[in-house]
Amino acid sequence: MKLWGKRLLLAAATAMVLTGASVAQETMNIRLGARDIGSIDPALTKTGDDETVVLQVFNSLVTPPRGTMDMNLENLQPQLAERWEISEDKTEWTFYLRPGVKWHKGYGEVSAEDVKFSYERQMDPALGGVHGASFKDIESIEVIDPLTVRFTLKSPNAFFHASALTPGFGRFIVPKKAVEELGDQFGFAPVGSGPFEFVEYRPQDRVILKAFDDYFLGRPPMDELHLRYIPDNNAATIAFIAGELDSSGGERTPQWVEQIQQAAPDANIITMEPGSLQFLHFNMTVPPLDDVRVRQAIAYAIDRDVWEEVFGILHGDLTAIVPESFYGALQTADIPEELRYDYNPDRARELLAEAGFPDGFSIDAIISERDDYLTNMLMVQDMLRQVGINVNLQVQDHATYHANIREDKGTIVELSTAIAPTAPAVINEFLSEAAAVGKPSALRNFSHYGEIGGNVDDLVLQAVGETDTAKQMELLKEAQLQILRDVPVFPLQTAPLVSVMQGDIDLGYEPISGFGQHEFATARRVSE
Amino acid sequence: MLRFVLKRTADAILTAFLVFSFVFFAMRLLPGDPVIAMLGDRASAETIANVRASLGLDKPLPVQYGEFLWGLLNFDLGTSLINRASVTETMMRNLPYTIALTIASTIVGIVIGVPLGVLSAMRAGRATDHATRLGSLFGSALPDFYLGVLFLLLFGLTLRWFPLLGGGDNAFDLRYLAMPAFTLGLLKGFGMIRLTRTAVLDVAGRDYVRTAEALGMSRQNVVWRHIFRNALIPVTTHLSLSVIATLGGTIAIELVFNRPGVGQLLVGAVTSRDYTLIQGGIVILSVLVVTINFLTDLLYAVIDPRVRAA
Repeated sequence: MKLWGKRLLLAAATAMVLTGASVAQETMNIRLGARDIGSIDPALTKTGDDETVVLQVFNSLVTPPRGTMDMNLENLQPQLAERWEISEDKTEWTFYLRPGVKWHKGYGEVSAEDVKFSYERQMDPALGGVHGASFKDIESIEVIDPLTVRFTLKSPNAFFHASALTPGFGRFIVPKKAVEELGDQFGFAPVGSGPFEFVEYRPQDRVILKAFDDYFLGRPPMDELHLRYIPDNNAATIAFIAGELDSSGGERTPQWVEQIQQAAPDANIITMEPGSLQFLHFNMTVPPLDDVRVRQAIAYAIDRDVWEEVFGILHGDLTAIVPESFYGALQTADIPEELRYDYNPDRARELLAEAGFPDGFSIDAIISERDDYLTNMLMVQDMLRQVGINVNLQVQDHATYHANIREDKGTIVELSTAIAPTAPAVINEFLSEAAAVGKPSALRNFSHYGEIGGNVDDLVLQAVGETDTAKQMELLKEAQLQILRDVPVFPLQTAPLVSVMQGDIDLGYEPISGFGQHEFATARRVSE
Repeated sequence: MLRFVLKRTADAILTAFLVFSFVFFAMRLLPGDPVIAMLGDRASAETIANVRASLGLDKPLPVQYGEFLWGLLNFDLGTSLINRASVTETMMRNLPYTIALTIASTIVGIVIGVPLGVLSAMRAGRATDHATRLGSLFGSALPDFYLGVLFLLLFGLTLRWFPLLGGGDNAFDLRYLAMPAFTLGLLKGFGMIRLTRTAVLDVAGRDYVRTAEALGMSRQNVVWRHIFRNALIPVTTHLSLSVIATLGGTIAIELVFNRPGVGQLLVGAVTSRDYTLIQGGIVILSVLVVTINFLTDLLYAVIDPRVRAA
């Protein structure tokens, strides 16, 4: 009798689970902070929010371990490619595609031709995308057979996977046929191979995606994702507290975190390292910033511990320009005492006196009105005043600021930005000669390092082509130590990205590091 | 009357043209660049130059201006520089939400403001008057976004009477319209109370009112025929200005309630230097504003025969 009772209960429970699963439509509401779509063609994405949508719809050839940005080649995971071979000198990268991976909406199967097309369309400047620069190392892409594709690089590059193959910023595979058929419309109604397929775009309101039944890693548990454009933080916070949103990006302020903890105690607050790198560039063409002693003085005058106190969980250490978690980064433990620039206002005054400024000096600087820029700069301004350096700040709107610093109008230039997680990527972008503002190849080197004040380009170039990992690390370490000696930049902190998720959502993996996008392929609702 | 209409039409067209031209050049004089705003801060100088060329932004200014005017003549406002969506479509999708909000909030404003204003004036100096004036003064000092958030917290989050986010599929969907319209209408109403009160008091002191009273007309007759009708003139002016302000400037309300609308659309466009969207948006808005001014002028002429003669 007892046994029967148990069996009945079990049967009833099973029936409930089965019917429940087949009847209830599971929808997840995800907030996007932008006002509207930029483009959800992976080659043309404009904002982090575009990237969030793209990440659900498309796949890359390979991926770092889930929830991380671990770019160690040995930890690379298969995605569309099931295996790969890399030539000894790291110039030929051959990928063997997983057979039978289907495109959404009946566009056939993922082929080597699609891979070649996905990259080559972005290498054509006429497309007008921003990501093409990541692929400038590619000499040619060859289709060996329908499931095999080979990239030949112009020079050896042991970091090719980090800049060109893993998810994010244009590194997704698109179906050639669909792109050609849909034209501009592909940016509003894309076709991919990922866990969710595109259903509808309602301008300024939302993008609706639905589970792709034939997803090669298994159909996602969520039936639909509604990615909703909600630019106002207050509106989003209230909607989250009311339960209208399952996931929302947050404000990077300690007050916001506190507010959520109080109003929605079950919610999970997720911070992802490193988020944005925040640092100062010293424009070395502008006196007195051309004097290394002055730059060192500024470094000694800034107390980085204050950032930790102010930002709490929204703060990460950044002692050298490359965050410690990035592949090839110099670890703080390996930095000699005299290059750490721990807060020392007396030393700052001494250095200023040596440089001929015993009473300090005044300098004009421009800064963006955006929170992550202005707050940091005001803190810096205040600290520098203590040692006699008077920074006259002119606050500008964000677009104006960025236009001006690209015209070399910055002196002490602050940046708050995300970048591919490897040491060479950071140095090439911010500190190489080719990246200096004013050059046609300019990226974001606002200090002119490489042109003047020192140069580590050769060290990085050697490291990138080096096949022996130990030697490679040694070269990168030397480059980063040299940067610390020359002080073309002063790192302030990393600002982890913060987001919040309802307590009943289980992502299916632990988000540790990334650019702020969550992937919802395995997200499901759990009963509490 | 026909001459009046023709003259005003000519004025309207000239005004609109001057506005378009001003906006075209003012946007381009602003520092900042749509391409940098669009490509984020990641792009190389080379990419920026390429994209600028692909959008036609490298052409000389007079050429761009000519293209803009030519497009206008063909009723073509172009596509957004940022996401290549049609400017006309984008505006036409947002405009109904703004118009719905404008109409609804104006009605709320009139319903609250005019009767209370008249009442306050009729009881000038007494307790009702003091209470109304104090209340309206306090109310006008409230910022719209603050009142909006209060309503959102009370009626949306706590009482759950209205949906928290968005504008609904239909711009006139009352469930979505109620909170923003009430917020804005209340603020308009506060202003209108004081304006109506002053206007009514002003007219009530005029000679012709005294004459009418001396002639032994009934109180009701004097109030409605002589005072109210004349007091309507400044109130109408204020209303048309208020409607115009709402058409272009309900950014805070739209943001707080996450409601579509031209306010936040255009502010977003300015932030990202989306020249075509701003130009197109202003063209449509200024046509609307000029039309409203024109209609107000006509309305004056109907209310006040003296205007027709002028």
